[in-house]
Amino acid sequence: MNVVTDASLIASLFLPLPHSEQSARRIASWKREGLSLCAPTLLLYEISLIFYGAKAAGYIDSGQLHTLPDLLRQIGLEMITPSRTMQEDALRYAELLGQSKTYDAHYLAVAKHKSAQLWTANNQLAAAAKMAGIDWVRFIGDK
Amino acid sequence: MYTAIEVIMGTLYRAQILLEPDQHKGLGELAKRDGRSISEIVREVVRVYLSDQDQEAQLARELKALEKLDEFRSMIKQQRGSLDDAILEDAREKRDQQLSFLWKDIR
Repeated sequence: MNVVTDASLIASLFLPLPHSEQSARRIASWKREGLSLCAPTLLLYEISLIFYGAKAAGYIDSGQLHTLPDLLRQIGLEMITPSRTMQEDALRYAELLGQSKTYDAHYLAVAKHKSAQLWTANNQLAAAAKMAGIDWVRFIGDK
Repeated sequence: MYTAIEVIMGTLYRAQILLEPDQHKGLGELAKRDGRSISEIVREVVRVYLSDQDQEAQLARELKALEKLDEFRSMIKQQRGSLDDAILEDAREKRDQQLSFLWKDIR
């Protein structure tokens, strides 16, 4: 069994964001239950950008910035390279959710491919998915 | 507890192991019921045991990494205070800005 996580949720493990405690508790719980975490390789680019932004804004220093790649790999997050089908699904999901960008849709495509739930700390994404009738995209702040 | 004499037999090693009477009886009954040899069943048991050990060690490493992240996050919070989602929004905007040059000339 898999759980797909997006960059907003993983970022909340590293930085003190509004849903950090929920994210940390839930991920530890999934690990203990034997669930595997995965995400599209896109997560690496997004999370790098978030960390780099955190450094630029003075929240973390350069030394802390460079410890993050190792820590990220140690939590056991499988990176999925999108296949042609997943890319096609991502385009469909972007249309279905009425999104102007396709980034978030790639997470949905991986979740569909893995028959898994997608968990996010982005309430707007969860709300858009719900509006589109997709019930397997979950907001980390939900009970 | 067992002693072993290993002999290479193709891809298998011969190992002499000592079992408790109940274990030997149970294995014999299982082998008869499933139409398999005791060796086959012992190999399966060892394979599952080793795999479980690997998974437990991996889980322990991952939980330890999550603890390190808790400490890391607490340290940032102590030094800089809590952050809001603006940092995530900012990253999304930067990502879009970086690609916007691709279509700005087309508009």
